[in-house]
Amino acid sequence: MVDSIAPRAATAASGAATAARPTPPGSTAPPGAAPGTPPGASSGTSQAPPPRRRRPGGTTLRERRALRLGLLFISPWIVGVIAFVLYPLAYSAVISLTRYSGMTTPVWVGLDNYTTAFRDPLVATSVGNTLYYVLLAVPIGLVVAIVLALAMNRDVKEVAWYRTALYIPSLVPAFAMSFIFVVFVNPQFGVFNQLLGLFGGESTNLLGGPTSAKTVIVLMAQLAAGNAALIFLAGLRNIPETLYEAARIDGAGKVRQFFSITLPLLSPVILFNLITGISSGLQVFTEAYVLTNGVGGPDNGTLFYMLYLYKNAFSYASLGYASALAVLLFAAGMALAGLVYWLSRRFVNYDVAAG
Amino acid sequence: MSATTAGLSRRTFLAALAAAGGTGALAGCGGGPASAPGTIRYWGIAGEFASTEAEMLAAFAATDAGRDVTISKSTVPSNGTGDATSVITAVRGGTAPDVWYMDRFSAAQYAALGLLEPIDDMITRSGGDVDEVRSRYVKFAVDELTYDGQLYGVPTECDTRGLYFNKGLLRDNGVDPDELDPSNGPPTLQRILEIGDQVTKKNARGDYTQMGLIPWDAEGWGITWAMGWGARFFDDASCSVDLVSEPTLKAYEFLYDEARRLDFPRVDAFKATYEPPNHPPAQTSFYGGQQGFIISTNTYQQSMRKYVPDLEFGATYLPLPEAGSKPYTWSGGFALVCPKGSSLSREVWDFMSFYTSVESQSIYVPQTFTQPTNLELVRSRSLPVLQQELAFFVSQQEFTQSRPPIPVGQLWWDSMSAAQENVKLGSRDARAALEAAQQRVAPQMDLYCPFTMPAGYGQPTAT
Repeated sequence: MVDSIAPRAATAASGAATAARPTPPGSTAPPGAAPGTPPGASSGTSQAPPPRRRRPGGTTLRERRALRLGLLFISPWIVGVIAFVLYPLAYSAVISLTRYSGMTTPVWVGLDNYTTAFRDPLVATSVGNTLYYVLLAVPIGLVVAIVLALAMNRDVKEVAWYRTALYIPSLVPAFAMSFIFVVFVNPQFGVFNQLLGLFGGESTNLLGGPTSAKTVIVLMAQLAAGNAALIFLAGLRNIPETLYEAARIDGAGKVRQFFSITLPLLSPVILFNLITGISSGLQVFTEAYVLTNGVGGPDNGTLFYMLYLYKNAFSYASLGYASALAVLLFAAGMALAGLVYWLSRRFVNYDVAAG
Repeated sequence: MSATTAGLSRRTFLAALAAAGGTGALAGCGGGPASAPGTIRYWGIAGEFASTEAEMLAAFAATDAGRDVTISKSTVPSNGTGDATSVITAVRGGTAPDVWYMDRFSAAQYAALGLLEPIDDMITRSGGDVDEVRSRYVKFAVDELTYDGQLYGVPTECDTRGLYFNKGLLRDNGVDPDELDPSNGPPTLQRILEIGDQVTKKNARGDYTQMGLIPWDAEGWGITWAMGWGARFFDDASCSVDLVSEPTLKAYEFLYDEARRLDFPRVDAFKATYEPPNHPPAQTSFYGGQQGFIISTNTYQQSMRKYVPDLEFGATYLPLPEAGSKPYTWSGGFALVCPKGSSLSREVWDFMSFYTSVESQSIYVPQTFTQPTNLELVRSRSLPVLQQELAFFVSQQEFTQSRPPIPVGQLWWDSMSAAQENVKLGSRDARAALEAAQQRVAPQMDLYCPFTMPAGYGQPTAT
């Protein structure tokens, strides 16, 4: 994943392959060190000493020792992944086949929880709410983040100040931000209704309607765009100035430069932010939890999937059902990421080495 | 440099690190220490009344039973009613408290889940008599702590709903507030709505600036009104919830009609203006003098005294939906319970018993404006506050009831609230909304059958 976003595009594929097969520290050239080389030719294998003794498995003694050593080096990470990712994943998959309150012995129910999930009208409601959020918040978030990144990338003396100012809202936790945002949407004193009032609109409680409340949460999410903007900024900094110079000489205007140079060369970063955006969008929780005191109102309008999952687990103590919902979310998230990745092959530009 | 030795030592180091990390993680998941003898781990009251509780704990320490007992109190933030995240985590992690102060509405549900321990054995072992203990407290509160015939805690206090009115606001709009004095008996719903219309004002943009009764506001739950029409939500004979009964339907139809008549979005904008979500405690439309009526509990007086000491208010019975019907209300409150893993020792019982005694409640009630649950105190009314500020609310203990203590209480509550949202916003009519609630709760309830409500549920306490 990390490799795929590196703008040093030529080595993305080979870099990923290298990372998957641990090699002795020091003997591998860092990914991207040889820009422009074809995939597969740049990694450590070409620089490793010639194999001395081949084993039936196709690896040398040295390679096997290196593998062991490499595994040992990342063992703290392996322990972390096993304890905090793989074990909970497997555990919830097993629990999802039972009726379990967390206290008494689980009762095996087979796939009942899954069939219930497909029939439960609130699952449908919460999926609808979540998709509404993702479909709005993710594209809007990408645009806002790119605009922020462009603003952070101006060649002026005070740019450090601009970067700080634009990033600060992202440092405020979503929890606190939710409290602040309530003031903005106050029907009489809030900024939004003041604007509406200018055009003769009546005072409305934006948090009082199922659709408007969701939209408020979409808007609120944009205050955290600074994180994605930082990644875009890194991408922007990696686009060689020479390309713009060439474009200017050829007579391309600012807009043409943006669409013909900036955007295509930024596409790997856009892909990364798109996938992480979808992934976190599917898990939207905090804002709705704070704004509605964990209820998901009005009229279940902000009952997002994660909120409903949480309520099932901790309000109704249906841990089995909640786990089934979690497994389904995991599957949906993986499927969407895969789909985006597959679609991206047509749109993402790894051709030009920038560096 | 010898690569082998360096590799080995590095390897050994990393292996040791991994092993240490692994055991550390395992130790974190293991059982926590049990309470030392003579120590009670207690999850108690946080915030404003923590100091009040400290006085009660000090009083316990001064008794013979409490002299050698150490109370190790923690205040664990509540995630909201029915959200037991913290205690579930603690029980699973083996660090559950011996005693937990919690909203007793969820007791039947938590008992059914196995999250709480029944306390009958602990009482007997400590030389007490369970029936005698039950008879110490008001009945509706004990009902809430009863599941499958066993007792799961002791009630510490209770709150009862009533109709508050702003005397000054009514007088300024040509209504004599004396009309609503409880000595005149319960008002009718029709009359309260008339007065409401009389005090309602709008500005040039058509926004409400002053209102009377907003039926669904504060404690004006659909279920509150349903009780007014005489609803019962559970049928013992069929072991099932009945959420679409005639009285419930009438109550939700009333809410639906009022939401259309008052124009719900405008009412909602009114509330969000003067009482926005997550508002500071002192900022409400009733305190601010924009709202003539509010249905709330006796503890509301405590915050009024604190934030708006000059507000001239009165309190009376909930309005009767039909003239001549019986007065009604419902009560909730908190309890001391023992989560799974509690030591259930004699000291624990001594503590719980003292906490709900006349002596302890005499400290708690005057400071919090809650009502006592200890029948001796209810009957004697031996505190000034019970004869004055709380007199009307305590008198309602003759007919109040609790919400149904069923094992799917939280789901029932959420579903009834969702139905209320439906009719408020007009997304469903009353029947469709309640049928959806029925469909959500009934199958979950089936899992716990056979089940019966505590004997005599809904019948008044003899005070």
